[in-house]
Amino acid sequence: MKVRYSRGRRVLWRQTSDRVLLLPADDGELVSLTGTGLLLWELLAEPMELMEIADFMSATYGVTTDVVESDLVPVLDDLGHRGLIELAG
Amino acid sequence: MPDTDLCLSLAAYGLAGAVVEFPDEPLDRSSWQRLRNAAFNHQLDGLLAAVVADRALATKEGQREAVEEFHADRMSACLTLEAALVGLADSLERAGIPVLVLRGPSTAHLDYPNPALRPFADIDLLVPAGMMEKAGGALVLSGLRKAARPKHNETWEAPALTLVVRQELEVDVYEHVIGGPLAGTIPATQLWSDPSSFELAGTTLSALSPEARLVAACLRVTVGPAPRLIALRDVVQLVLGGQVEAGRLYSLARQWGVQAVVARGVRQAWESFSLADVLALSTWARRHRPTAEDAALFDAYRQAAFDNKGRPGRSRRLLLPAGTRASRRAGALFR
Repeated sequence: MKVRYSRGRRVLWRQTSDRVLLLPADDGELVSLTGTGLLLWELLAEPMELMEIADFMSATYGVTTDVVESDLVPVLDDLGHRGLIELAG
Repeated sequence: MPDTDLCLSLAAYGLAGAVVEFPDEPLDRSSWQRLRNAAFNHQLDGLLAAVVADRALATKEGQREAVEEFHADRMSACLTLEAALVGLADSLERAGIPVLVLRGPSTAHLDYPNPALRPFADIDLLVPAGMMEKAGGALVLSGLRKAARPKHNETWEAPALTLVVRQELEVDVYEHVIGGPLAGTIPATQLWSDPSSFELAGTTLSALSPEARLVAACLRVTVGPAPRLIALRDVVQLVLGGQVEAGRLYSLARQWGVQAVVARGVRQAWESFSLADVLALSTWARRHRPTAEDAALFDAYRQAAFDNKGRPGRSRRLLLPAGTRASRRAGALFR
């Protein structure tokens, strides 16, 4: 079964003109996503597989899917570790 | 371009039909700083960020970045407040105390298209009549402490219990949305009818109904000290937002004896932003004529605010028609 990523349910957030600010409601640090992070957060409004996210970003930014995927994995890991995104099987 | 016009344009930015004008050239350093200060004082930081991001207002090097950073800081503070709000609402619920979120967070999430447009600086909660002390006890148990000196002690405001989490995080607990004579005509129990709800981090929070939110917003504009410009914007957001049902509003306003408050609040907001009277509600507000009793009531609240502050504040000098000073006699309503 493929893993799907989505926004954490217990996350407070705000989108400003140049960033998305994320704060876990229960505990944790404030995180600021900028640049491509804004699109990532927008995409994660609905559960998405890594490949789906990579395909979308690849088409948007004109970068190969492999490159996007290799950039995305550590970011998604970090966001997951901070409780800002959730994984569903 | 006069500062007043600039601030009003900022406050009206994005409203359909509003007269919004910004200079073509970037502001000089002094004018820019005055605008930044006014935006902060009137809680227009979100709108300033939007104006700058949309390039509706020309900026010099560094100004855009400064606005973005400041706005991000302000929103970070709002998120911290919201995290506290989620926890406090949970504590109160476990203590069996119903709660409605007033003003800032509920306004930002229910009445603005993007909550980033509407900063706020504290948390205001409404609890049922007679439950303020119990709510305070529950909040103290969850880690808050009572403020040494309550912030809100003006006679025109509802009595509040002020608690603090940290120095920068303040929570005010109310049993009513207004103090003074109108607290007697607006039944506190009816504030709980048909509440709205919004979600924060998976927690559903309740707020006043759209009609009651508009009444409360109009109270903030028309009684007490001079309103911040964001309070006028709140009125317009509520009216244009489509959630307020006119029939219910008229009925509620009549029942609560606040028709003049609503009419004056809406009219003041409409006139401040030079909005066209294309809505039944704005037309009604323009045509409404306050009675002598209404005028005495406004005078009484204004006098109470003057007595507390000693001077008119913020934008009242800017926005109210000349000759609106309160009479000493009007203060009798509060005694």
